[in-house]
Amino acid sequence: MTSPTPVRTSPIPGLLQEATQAGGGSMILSDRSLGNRLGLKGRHAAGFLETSGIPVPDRPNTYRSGQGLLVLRLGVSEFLLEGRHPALTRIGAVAPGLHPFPREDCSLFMAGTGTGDLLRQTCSLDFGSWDPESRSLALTVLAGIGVTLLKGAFQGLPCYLLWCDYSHGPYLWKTISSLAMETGGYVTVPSGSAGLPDGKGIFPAEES
Amino acid sequence: MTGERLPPVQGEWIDRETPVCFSFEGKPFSGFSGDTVSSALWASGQKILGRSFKYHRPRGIFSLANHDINAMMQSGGVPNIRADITQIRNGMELFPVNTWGGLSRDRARILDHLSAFLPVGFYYKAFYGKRLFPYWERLFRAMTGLGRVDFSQPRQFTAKEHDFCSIAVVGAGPSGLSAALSAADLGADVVLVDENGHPGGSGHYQRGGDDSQWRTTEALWAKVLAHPRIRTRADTCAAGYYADHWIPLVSGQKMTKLRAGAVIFAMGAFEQPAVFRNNDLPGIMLASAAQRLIYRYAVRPMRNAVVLCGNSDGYRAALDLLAHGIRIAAILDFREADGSGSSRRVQDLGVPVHFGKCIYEAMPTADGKGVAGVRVARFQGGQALAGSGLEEISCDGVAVSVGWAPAANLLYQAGARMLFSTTLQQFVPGAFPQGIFACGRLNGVYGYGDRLQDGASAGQQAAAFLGYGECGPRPRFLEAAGPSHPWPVVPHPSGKNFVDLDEDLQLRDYANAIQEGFDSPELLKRYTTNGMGPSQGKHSSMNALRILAHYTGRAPGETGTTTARPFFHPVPLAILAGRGFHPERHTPMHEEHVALDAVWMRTGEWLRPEYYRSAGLDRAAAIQAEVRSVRQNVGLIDVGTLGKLEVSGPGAAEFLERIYLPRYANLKTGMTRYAVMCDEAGTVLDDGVVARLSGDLFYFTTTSSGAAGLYRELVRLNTLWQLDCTLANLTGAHAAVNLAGPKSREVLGLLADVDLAPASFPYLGVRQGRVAGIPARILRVGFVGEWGYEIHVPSSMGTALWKALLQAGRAFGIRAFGVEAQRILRLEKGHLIVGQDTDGLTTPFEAGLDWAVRMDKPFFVGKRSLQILSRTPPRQRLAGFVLESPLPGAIPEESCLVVQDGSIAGRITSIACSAACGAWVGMAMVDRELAAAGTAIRIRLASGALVRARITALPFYDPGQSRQKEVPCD
Repeated sequence: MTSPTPVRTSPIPGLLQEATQAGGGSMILSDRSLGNRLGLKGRHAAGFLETSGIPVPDRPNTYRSGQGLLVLRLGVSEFLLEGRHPALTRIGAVAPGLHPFPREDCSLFMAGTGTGDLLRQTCSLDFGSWDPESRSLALTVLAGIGVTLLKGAFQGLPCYLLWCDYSHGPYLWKTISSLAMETGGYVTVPSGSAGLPDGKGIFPAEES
Repeated sequence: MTGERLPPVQGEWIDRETPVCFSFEGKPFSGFSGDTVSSALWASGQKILGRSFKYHRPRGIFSLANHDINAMMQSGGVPNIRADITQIRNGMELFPVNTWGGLSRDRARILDHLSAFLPVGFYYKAFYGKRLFPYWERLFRAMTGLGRVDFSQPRQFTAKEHDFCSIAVVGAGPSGLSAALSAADLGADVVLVDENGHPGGSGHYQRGGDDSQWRTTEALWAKVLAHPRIRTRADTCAAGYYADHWIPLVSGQKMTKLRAGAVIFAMGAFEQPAVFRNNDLPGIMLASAAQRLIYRYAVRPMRNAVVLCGNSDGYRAALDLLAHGIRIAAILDFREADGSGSSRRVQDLGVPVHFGKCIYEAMPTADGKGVAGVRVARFQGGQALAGSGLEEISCDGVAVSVGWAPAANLLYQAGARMLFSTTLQQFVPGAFPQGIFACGRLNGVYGYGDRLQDGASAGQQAAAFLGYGECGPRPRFLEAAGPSHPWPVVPHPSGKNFVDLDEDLQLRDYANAIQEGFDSPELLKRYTTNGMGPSQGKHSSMNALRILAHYTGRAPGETGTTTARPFFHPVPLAILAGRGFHPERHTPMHEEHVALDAVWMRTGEWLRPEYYRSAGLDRAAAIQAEVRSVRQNVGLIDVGTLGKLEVSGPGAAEFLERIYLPRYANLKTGMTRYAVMCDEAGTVLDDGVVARLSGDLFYFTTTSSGAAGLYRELVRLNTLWQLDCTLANLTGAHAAVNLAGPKSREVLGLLADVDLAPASFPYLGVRQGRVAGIPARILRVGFVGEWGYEIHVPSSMGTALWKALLQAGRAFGIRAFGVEAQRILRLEKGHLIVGQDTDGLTTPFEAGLDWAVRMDKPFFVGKRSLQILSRTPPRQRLAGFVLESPLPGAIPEESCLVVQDGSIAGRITSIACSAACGAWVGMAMVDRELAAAGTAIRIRLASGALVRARITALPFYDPGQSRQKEVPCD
């Protein structure tokens, strides 16, 4: 028996690996699919996070960030956790009222002046009026597929983090990149590149 | 530039520095940038712009506002462009639609002389008899239709976007500009929409010989442009209204779905024609059309005019004509007097004014393509007194100004209650729905200053509705004189006095329809087709209503109106369709399949390899090679499209007991069991495998296409049941493959850290471990009837798993196989596919799944229905069959019928050529009486021929299950 080191693959491998520019570049796109991510559901999920010292959004469809974690509250008892935190390693197996499960999402970072046009053409929500300070997130339909989306600010421009099903990744990329070409072009930046936010800096400052 | 082009006019929309060349009917023409097709042609002296729809009468400019369709043209591959509002471009090649041989020599003009044989309702009456129906249909199809669709044109992908604002103002005339400014000043985010490329509406072109109103309008526009809270959308039509203030904005490039907090309609009014004989001759136009020609395009509408009035606006139009050097032969006024200052100014200028007079008929030029003069009659009591002598006045054009109809279509669609004002002779809003406001002419306010005030008030009200400031009650305005004449209709014994120019409907058509009993607005509309042409009644509905009221002895307010529906303007299909989104899902190993030259098929949203191309093999041979590989060596298929769910918690087993037919409370940890579920009617809904990973954690699969809907249904059910368990959907998070074949264990053994010995990992077992270093769930299941493993790993490691398995299997002759090979393999094994071998009515008893139904459970979804169904034998059964003496070209396909004694006795659900069985084998849902093994059946081919088959016990392959397990399963 051999045990090769497993290689993780993004649903959009080309985008992850290379910095490219297409058209004028009114939008920055970055593939963040291979981030560390975990889903947590169950009636004790919120309590577990609180007792673990993890910031917990107080209502569904909001998020909090801090301690290296981005915590999205997708429902009363459902969370998406992104990042690294010692408490996450303690979750381990299921327990009554606590159901951790893998999240293998396609996830994108989008920023720039072109994002407004892009979202107007693909989604019926009014992101223009969203205040990042509200820490709101949307579970909505974008280009015909279900996505989770939140808005932040990056270098004075609106930016968005987007998650969708891994299997929709190629379709989403094809759709977004073709629309972005019509609305001023785009630049792709490899995840983790210098200058690209890993979460810090694009979210409103936490009060604690 | 010669012809009818005027010297520069203040505020003209054309750029005289930029000439534009185009052709019309093959002849070269030129105009200026900013000209529309109609204005450029008119300026060049081309007065016939089109032929009418039914009688092919010559037509010219009538409204110059897309309120009629006299001038519809084909521009290359684009049919039916509106020449009145379409700007010319260099190189345009234009042709009129609806002519047989060109405008001048249109052979179909003979129809104008046959109008007596084409009375109202002719179409409907023609189709009464079945015998002649095909004849009429062919004739009408050949005769009618506007424009030519060019199927070779490349498909246009237009954007479709969403936009949002606090207040949408529809119409950028004086009242709309004023409303936008007042609302924005109070803090509202305003979108101002106008169908024209330039703002101002009637404030631009209805000047009455005085530029002061235009200058005021221009000043308002400058303020709008500078306002930080107002966004403007020119050349954009608000084409409809939908619930919750949702408005489709249609421009030449795209549709924008605008969601507003409140809407102010300031769309003004459509000028209405007078009805008199030959009122459609080229040269006879609405007064507002003449004003548009002058002020927008600096084009002389006519040289020697007659102005027909029914209101004071006609005198202001006369002043505009006079101001630009146009002689006015006479002004005819339906009324007995006019007290406006404009009429006095006109008379002071020496223009003869005839009160109480009407045009009895317009006289055509010798060639019938223009107007030579008018015959004038005394108009009294709503009648032309033709017997008292007719005066003839020579002219080359008539400007008609007799009244207005509010552009209220969107207001109706929004649910406003409209009332008929006898003073104004128009419908005005009586009550508004929440967040809907109107101002200006649409609101029955006509004075220029009044419109500004009314707009400002509407803006304040809309802003206050959204919490911006406060406002008082709306001001009321009193019109000194009604802007619309109540009966601008002149009967004539020879007809051709048109009410609807789109459909060539004459006054007597309405009288006849009403006499035949079509005496309500909706019936009249459908029988006469009034308002059903491309201009949607903009110039005809109000007059039709007046005529209906007149002939039925009612007031227009008592007859009601027709229903206004979106779209208000015709919308090109390319814009309406917009960009389509067609989501598709790829498994994580998609690129690996591409590298293996997969041929794709869609399964719901998923793209799956149907088979892999192989050098020198056709489709069938390639599939058989894949089947052979699985039967003889080892094959690998991507099954990541399966639904993959988890349920955990103390209530998890109970949850599965309720949703599936078999029992799961007694399923041992580390084991799997087939799962099949029904709906409440006892119909087979889905199937899969349930694996117990630990005491309170189950992992289960569903069919590929059913996963998303099923997960939603399961969440709904647990919301009702409130069991102590949690569901998670891992469909996209997990990749999955099936490694199958007699050598699969050896291949997996090279990579897995799990003991694969049958004693420790038996058939139907499930283990968690690592494969090629990847955390995996391994299920020993045998859908294809061979020793096999279903391996589930995180999606991001699916590619690594796939590569590792192919690498490890190379020495064992491994081959990737696709969905078609899998279908053959499972068919040989007699395994059904839900949705293919079952349909929307199939019960488990019919599908041969009786063994899975555990009626001793206290409850499961569908139990009650199945209890009832179990009392009688099923009407049909799913059975296997083998074709007897199959001949090439005579092989049944799926869905072919089983025929017994001349009646339908079943249908084929699956069929394939099985190399392992050496026969064509299949499954069919047949009548119960035919389901016994050995029964001969006959299958009807698509050609009608019958082939013989024999019912056979399932499975066809390895009935002893010896190939997929070595020890008895539990």
